Amino acid sequence: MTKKILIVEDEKSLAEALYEKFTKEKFNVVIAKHGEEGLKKAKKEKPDLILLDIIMPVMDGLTMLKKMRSEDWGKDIPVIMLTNLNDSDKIDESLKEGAYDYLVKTSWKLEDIMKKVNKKIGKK
Amino acid sequence: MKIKNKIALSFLLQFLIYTVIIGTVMSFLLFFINKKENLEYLDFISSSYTKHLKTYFEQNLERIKVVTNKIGLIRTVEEYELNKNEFLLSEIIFNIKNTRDAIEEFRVISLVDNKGEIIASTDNNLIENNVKNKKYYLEGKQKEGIYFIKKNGEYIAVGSGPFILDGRLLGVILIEANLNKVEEIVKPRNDLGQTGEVLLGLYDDDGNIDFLFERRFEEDAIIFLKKDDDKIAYPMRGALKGQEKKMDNILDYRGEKVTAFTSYLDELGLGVVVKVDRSDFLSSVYKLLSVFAVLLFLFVVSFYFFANKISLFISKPIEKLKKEVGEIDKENLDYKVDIKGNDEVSDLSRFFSEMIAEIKKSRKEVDEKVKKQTEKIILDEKDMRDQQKAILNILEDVEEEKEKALQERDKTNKIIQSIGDAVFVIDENLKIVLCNDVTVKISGYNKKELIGKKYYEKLKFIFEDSRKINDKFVKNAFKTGEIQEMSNHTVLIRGDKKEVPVADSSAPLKDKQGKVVGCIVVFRDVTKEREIDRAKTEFVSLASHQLRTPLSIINWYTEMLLSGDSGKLNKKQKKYLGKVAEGNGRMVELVDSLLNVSRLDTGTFVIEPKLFDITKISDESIEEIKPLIREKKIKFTKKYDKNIKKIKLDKKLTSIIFNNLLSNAIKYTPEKGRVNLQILKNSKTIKIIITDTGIGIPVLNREKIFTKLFRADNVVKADTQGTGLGLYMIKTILDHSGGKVWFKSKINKGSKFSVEIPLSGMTEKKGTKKLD
Repeated sequence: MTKKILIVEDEKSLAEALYEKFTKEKFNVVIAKHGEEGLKKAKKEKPDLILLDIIMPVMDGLTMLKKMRSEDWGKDIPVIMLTNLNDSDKIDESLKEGAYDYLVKTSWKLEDIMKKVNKKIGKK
Repeated sequence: MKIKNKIALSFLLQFLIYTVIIGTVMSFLLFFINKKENLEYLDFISSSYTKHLKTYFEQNLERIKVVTNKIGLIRTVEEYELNKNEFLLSEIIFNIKNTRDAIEEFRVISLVDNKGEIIASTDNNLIENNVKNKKYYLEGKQKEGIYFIKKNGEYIAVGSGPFILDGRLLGVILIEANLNKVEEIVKPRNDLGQTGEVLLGLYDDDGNIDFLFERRFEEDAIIFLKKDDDKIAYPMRGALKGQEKKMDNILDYRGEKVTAFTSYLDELGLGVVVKVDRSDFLSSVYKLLSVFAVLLFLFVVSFYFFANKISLFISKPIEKLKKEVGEIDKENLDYKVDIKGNDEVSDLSRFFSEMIAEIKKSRKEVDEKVKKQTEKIILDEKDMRDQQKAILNILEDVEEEKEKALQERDKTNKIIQSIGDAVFVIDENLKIVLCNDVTVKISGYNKKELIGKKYYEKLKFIFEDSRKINDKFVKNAFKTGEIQEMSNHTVLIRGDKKEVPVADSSAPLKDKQGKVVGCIVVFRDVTKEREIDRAKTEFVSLASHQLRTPLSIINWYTEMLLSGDSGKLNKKQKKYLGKVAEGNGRMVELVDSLLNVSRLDTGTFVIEPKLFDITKISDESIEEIKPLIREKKIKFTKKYDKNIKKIKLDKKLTSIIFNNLLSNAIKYTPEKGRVNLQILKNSKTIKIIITDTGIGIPVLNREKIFTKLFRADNVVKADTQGTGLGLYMIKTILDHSGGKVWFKSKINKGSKFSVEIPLSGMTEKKGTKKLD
């Protein structure tokens, strides 16, 4: 079965690169431009995993994560934070809210992100 | 005093002394005799009162017995007990009414049965009253007795006695009687003078002293006599304790001094006091003494006239001599004394004449001497005046010097006051002796509050992060005698509890021997600097984050191109894209370092030591740098001591140390060079030594090698990549965690960097930011 992945990222170029990479690997990819949209799509699409940026307009990633975790449907969806912010506070907070991992964009190749996701939810 | 008066007085004095002695002896004799007589009289009166009272009460006990033994009454009562009918009751009442009317003092007679209930009485109101708990009833079952109880504010007597037939108790008879007869005995007081009285006292139900009748001086009675109020009424207290004795000079119920005789009527519980005021008691003695005094006075006056006459006769010639000598006294030495006669006074006059001649002669000699002395004194005085002048001159000089010193002090004060920084001076006891207006402004305390106080009582300098008192800079100034810097991030807590970030230094004040006797502390408000610092850091942090986004874009898209997904690339394209990726990688590194440096600068980074094996951290770093080692064909060796145990380390910070030292060593060593890493365990420290055969550090650059963004000249020329941040980070981390770093280097031969971390581990530091 095709795995569904939700990418929440406000930077269009980055979202596109991720979309390309994951579609090529036969993932079903859904894109959201900010937290609020991400929340709606996550509820509707029930993705197998969410890649979540932190600094975004309208609603930031941590707020979205907290809101999602407070709902029944969102308690168990695996989340990987994918961001360029690396304050220890933010890392701690995300992990406390049940994020699976915390990746800094500049330090991670697309290939490696892919491997990380695959490791978590299994290929296809 | 004149001889005339002297003689008269001596006569008078002699006479007086004898009279007083005789008078005193006689008075005492009279006093004692009189007093003894009075006492005997009072004793007699007292015992006759007591006897009288005793007889009266005994008589009344007999009367009660008569009533209880009335055989007719007893029979009727017995009959009534068996057959309770109205007829028998009226007979009983008739009987006791007769008895009551027969005796004047009797007022009410009642009959009480064995249960304590009044079954018959001359007073109908009392019928069916129960008296079983009353003392007079309970004791009345045994024998006849008289008791005193208060009824309508007045004492009456209650007599009681058993009603017995053939040894069987039928009941108790109660007789209420007035005390008119008793009052008649004690009230008249005819034989007791103006103040005397007979008191009858008893303990009432509450245990307080009370009196049967109104006292003679009821209005002067100063207190209700509580049993525990032991200050007055001694005679009655004594009497009620059963004492039968004379009490002289003792306080009665008014607090007056009296002479009293006490006795106690045992069976009635009645104290009897017969007393007379002491003043009254002794008045007859005093009267006698006053007559005596008047007589004495008259005697003295008449004797004075007589003595005067005699003395006048003796003193007349002496008066005359006095007058003549008085003339001589007025410098008239040629006056001749002219007194004729043969008595002692005439002889005296002749001696005077001879004496005058002698005086004349000696006075001349004295005059001469005085003249000489005076001359000498005048000379001495002149000398003294000269000396005084000289001293005054010196004093003026001293005054001038003092003035100068004051001016100097004023100047110094003004300089201190006008310095833009806060300045205060403390003495060796750490007490503030001087401070300027800026100190007042920053600290929020006024000068009065500061001067003379130990500086740390008011000026509380604390470390911003640990909140502990920072007194190092003062302590060290005293200890080392050298200028001390306040450490970074010191905060002053103001008088109003606000906190002001401050910076600066303290300098020791030394005396001539070089001993530190005080300390000058200079500090300033660095709120503005801190704000700028913070703004700068925030800017760097934000900029770093924003920089990363385009870097990520470049990263990922070159990756996608290189992967060939969007079409195969030729060799050149691949090589060029590789260069883009490499450049981008350097940019990422630079941004990371900048971010770390901004955190190190503001001191907001965290040190979280946990137990780690340092060799493992080292190995991880080596693993990361291996591609570069291989690329440059460096001969890399490592050597760890065997007995290295886990110590407390912050893993991230330790990694930064290894990463930077290793990458430096490799970067600045030419191809095929050698790099060696050693970790040693000493007695107190772990030592990391990294040696290379690199280009070395130029002598001129060595001082600056640990400063931020500094790169050595030879390195810049060689155009090797590098940020100038690595060694700065290492130094800052070790400064904060209790370690140290140093190096040795020879240009073009190589460098040796050493790092020491105490075996006790890195010092913990709370902060807000971790390093990457």
